[in-house]
Amino acid sequence: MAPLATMGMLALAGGAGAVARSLVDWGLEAAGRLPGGGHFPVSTMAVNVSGAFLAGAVAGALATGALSPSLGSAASVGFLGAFTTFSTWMVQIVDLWEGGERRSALLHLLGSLAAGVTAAALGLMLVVSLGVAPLGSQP
Amino acid sequence: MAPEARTHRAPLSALDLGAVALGGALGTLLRAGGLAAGSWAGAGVEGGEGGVAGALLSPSGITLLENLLGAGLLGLFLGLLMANGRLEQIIPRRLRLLLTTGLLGSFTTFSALALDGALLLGMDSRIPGAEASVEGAGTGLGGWPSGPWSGISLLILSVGGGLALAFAGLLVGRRVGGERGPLAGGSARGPGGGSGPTTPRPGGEPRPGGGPRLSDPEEDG
Repeated sequence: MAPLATMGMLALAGGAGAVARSLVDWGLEAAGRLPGGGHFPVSTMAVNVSGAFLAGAVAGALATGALSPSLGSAASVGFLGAFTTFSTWMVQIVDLWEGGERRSALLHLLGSLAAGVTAAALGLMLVVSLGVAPLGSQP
Repeated sequence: MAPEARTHRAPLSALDLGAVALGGALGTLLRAGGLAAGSWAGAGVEGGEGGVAGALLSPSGITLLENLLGAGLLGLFLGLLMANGRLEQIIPRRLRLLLTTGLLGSFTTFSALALDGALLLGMDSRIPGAEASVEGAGTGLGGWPSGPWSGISLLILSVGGGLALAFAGLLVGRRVGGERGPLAGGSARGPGGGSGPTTPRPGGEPRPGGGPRLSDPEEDG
């Protein structure tokens, strides 16, 4: 694909990923409220873990040839790269820690990391073991 | 759920989402540009021993560097906003959304880090052919060393460095933007109001005590 078309695809996918993250953040705002009046950033954990699962699935679909490299790149580098976030995750952990909510900070840090890595592996294994075939091909 | 719980946060308008989309597109292009530049520069290193330069120019290494940079910049920007109430009036809310949620949120990424971690830890080893996926996914490990210890290093460098830079960014931002900092000027805040419970939460969530948030439309008046 021409470089300009690739860039356009990445920009579109990235913009969509960021919007999707905002919508999840907005939708899960109430879910993060703790009984004691505190707040846990559930939405960041949710987008990061689900995005990691999907990144594994996309990598699996690329391995089986079900997804073309350009579509795979738009999906993983573009959409999922923007849908998930590292900077907000880090700043939230520092903020929770500084605010005295240290257990929440540790849960956000270690929970996201362990769940994210596991989810990526699961997504990859699921798609590869299902043997998702290239679109339009007959088994 | 109480009705006010649902309406507590102002709904995102189409223009808000447009600002996030624009920032997200820019952040993604910058991140992808960094990956492309890394693979271009890394091609020269590939033949040699590679070493640290080869590792850092690999997609995993570039993503690490971008994540660290983005975490530091987000901390810096939010620190400035926390310390100086005037900045929230000077910088329109949608521009803040574009820069934080949009640009820096999308410039940094978690999915590539999690996938790289899973692959390096060998969690895909039972899947024949799965390794072939890495290059095509744009998350190729390239010159980044293989093996579980390399994966653990990547995760620790990312998280340790990210936390350190986010903390440093917040610290510097609050100092520079604070009452005595060069950006202070005629702050609308009262004495001692430069920090404390009125700090906005990253991600737009209110502190338990309630206070201005990045995404609070009322703040702009």
